[in-house]
Amino acid sequence: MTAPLARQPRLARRSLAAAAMTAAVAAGVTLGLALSGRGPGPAGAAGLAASGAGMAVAALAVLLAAANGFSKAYSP
Amino acid sequence: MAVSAYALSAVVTWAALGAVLGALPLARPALALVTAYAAWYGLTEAAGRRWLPVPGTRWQVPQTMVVGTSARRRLLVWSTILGPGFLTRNPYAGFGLLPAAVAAAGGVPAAAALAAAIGLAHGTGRALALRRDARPGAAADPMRLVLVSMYWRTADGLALLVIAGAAATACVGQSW
Repeated sequence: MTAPLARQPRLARRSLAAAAMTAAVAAGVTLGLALSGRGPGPAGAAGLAASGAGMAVAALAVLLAAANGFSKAYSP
Repeated sequence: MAVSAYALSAVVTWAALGAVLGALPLARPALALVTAYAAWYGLTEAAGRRWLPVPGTRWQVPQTMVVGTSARRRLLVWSTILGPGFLTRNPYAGFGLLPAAVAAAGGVPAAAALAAAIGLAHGTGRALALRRDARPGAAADPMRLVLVSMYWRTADGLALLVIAGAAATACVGQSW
């Protein structure tokens, strides 16, 4: 049974959003797994510095900071 | 000049915060917090929902601090407040993740270095955004601003979900 015509774009948008969200999580997990074996940081390091996956999180946080700074419109 | 002023004040402020947070034994709980925060707000923003308000302040710079003052003083006020990003309105949830990520870095050197990099990135991005908005012809069309902010919110949500995935992997890896 097909959805009414007016609901189809909304369903398509929701499907697209769900696919994008799933892909984003999968990309993060893949990145973490790919880097997790790439040697820890300095001896005795803890937290993000202790693993490749943690270093990936740190690098993504820096990119997120740049995007957050640049995305703000003029609203001090 | 303005870009370096914004970046410098942001680096100094964030590095100081990093030194404080890095000295506290917060790495493990903060990493779990990063994972949960990124997953929750990533879903919220990417799905276009508002299940919880974005953490932050609505405080804005009082006009008395900048009106009728010298250009140098205005630059000092703007760069000190806008560069680090703590005392200004942050419309997207991504900014709230950053202090938790710094706390999760583990140790003073790592936390201070990560915080300084975050400050440099945010301060430079903020200064470049102001330069972008000051261009002639970049007049604010309210509808366009709303659309652009929706796109940024979705992008912020997707970026948070990528971070959630990587942080979850790091959490699992450190619990073994």
